[in-house]
Amino acid sequence: MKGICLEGKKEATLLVWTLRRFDPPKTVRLPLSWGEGLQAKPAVEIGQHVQAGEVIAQPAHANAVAICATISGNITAIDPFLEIQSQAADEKNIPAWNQKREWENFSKVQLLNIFQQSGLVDLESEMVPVHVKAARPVSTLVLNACEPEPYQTCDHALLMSHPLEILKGIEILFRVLDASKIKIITQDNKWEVAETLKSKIFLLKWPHAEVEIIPSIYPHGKEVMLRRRLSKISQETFEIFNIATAFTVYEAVVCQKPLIERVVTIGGECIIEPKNAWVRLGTDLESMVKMGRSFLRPPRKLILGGPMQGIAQKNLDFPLIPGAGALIALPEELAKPETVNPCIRCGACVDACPVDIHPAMITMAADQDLFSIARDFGAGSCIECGNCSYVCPSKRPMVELIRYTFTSKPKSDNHKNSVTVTSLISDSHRLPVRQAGHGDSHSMPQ
Amino acid sequence: MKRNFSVSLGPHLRLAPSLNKIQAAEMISLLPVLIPAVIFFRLPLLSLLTVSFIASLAAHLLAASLFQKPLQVMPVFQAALLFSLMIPLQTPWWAAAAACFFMIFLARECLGGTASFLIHPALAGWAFLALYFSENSQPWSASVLLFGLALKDIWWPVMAGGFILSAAAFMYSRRRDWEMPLIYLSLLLGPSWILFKEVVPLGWLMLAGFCFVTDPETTPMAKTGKRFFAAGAGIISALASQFLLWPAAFVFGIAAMNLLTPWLDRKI
Repeated sequence: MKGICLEGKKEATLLVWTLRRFDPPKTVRLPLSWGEGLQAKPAVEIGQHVQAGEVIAQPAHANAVAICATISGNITAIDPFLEIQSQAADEKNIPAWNQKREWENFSKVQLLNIFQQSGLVDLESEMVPVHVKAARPVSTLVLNACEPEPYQTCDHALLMSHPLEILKGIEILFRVLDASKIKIITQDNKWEVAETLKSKIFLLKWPHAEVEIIPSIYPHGKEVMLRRRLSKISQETFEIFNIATAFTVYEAVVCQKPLIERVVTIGGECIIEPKNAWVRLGTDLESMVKMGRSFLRPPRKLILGGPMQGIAQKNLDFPLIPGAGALIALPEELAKPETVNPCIRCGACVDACPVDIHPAMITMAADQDLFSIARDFGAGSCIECGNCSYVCPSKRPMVELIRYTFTSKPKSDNHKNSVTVTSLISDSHRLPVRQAGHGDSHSMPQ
Repeated sequence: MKRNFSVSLGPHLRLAPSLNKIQAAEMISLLPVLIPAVIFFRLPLLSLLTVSFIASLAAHLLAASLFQKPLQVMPVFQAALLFSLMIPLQTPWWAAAAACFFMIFLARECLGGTASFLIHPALAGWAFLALYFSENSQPWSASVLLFGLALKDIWWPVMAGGFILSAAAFMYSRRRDWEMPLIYLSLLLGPSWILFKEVVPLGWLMLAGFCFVTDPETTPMAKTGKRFFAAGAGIISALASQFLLWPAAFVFGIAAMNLLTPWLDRKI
């Protein structure tokens, strides 16, 4: 199993498994589009009063989901963000969603419709709608409870505080998918998660469910790696859902509560009080930082998602989206830009690459716009896990260069075809030696 | 609270050791050999080291100014140190300086600098010197230090221990596994001992097996390529020892595989 062993740094947010729920924010901003294929059409007007949980944007097509108001208040803007501002009266008018309904008699179509109208998306970075994933029958339902990225413990904490609700959600997904087997995959640094799940499965007498523990090697535990692994070891059809998605399925179907909030890890060395908390979708990052009692010291980077694949934020304005499970504030010493040196061909990136491609040769080719050579070395198979950049002693921006092979066009076909690897290596002195701060277009004011 | 944070693509964390630290660690790894050697040989070795360092640095500075490239002093010093250990102590200073200039300026910098050259600079420098002396019919022998033949009784185990310590430290600092030296040494020593009944010099064995075969800049990057490299270098060196003296056989075996490295990277 190729990959890297990362320092977990999860202890600070796992001191308590209680999930705090703060007062809803005064303003939320919900993007009308959550990426390709997730567009929604606004169903409200500016000035209209909406209740938390009310559908405010309808899916633009069959593969999209509705957007529900995450707080009660008045609509103040529509495009590109649906903005809701709560009034003083709204703060006391919070729906409880404590009326449970019987779901056993619902048909598959009804359940898929509930998923779509509740705005359910898989709580992974790809944010694929649950009703799209659950539409195709499979033989195995796979639940991902791994969290391979450092700092991130939101799924861990949710699973330890709501195991039965999650298992109920798994049961609903199991019914919808018409599966014959349930596989919950976790990592060997989460023994308490594995033991809790095993004991609950034993009490529920689910002979068709099993808990599998894999080594905590990054990026094994990411959905894309689980998919590759399961495809290799078995011919059976399967679908993978994040374990937190099962909880949202339970809430949507049983409690009639749409996707309006999720558990987020607010952590990193710069946060005074790292914790896992329930946060309404659309909450701005500034309010989330305040949930962690603000910054202990000024961070160099603020990352929405995990520190390996998360998105660095320029400021605190961006709203929380369903696919982001963490807000990490990294200090200067961990996130400072380093001087980029030419590749010394040490091969550390090749050894660390989980999909067996040749990052060093790809990036050397990308540096000279030789995209056919980059493709020969497997650029198309890159999953952008970041292992190559992480281990590179020359601190080369490997992921950026590999992505560059997809986003740019070659200079000329003649040039491309006449190039050999020997010329590539002998030409590598032309590689630009980027100075400190490559890619850092913004720096924090002192 | 208006703030601007650094923005870049992930990963946002990096493994600590940087290139400079690794290169410095490699230099330190050679100290267990260097310290007893300097104590034993004193002035001849010190003067050879001084000449090599100065000539290599001058060649590097010239190349850096001509080609407008950043200074990379550590690998240049490392090549100079390895070169000094490989050549005879009686080498004239001007010959050593010329060889250093050749290996750094022509064999390293003119071919592109860091990781762009085809043959390890120290091997290229040694070959340059060997060719010069063979053309001029002057006495040329291999490094006494690496053969360890002329060392007195007490110094032989000290030097041998130094070589073994250096080899271990080199492997650790380069973060390499033991597979490459193991393949190389077994395929070199097996035929040499069993078929050709030859005694292989320990110093050269250590230098070739742990410094040159594991050198990242001139060996393949992928695991299978590394295995092919080590096996090829071992077999070629063993076979070449039937026609060449030992140092030349070592150099020939590794340099031949150095030249094949781009092909190995592409095909294997």
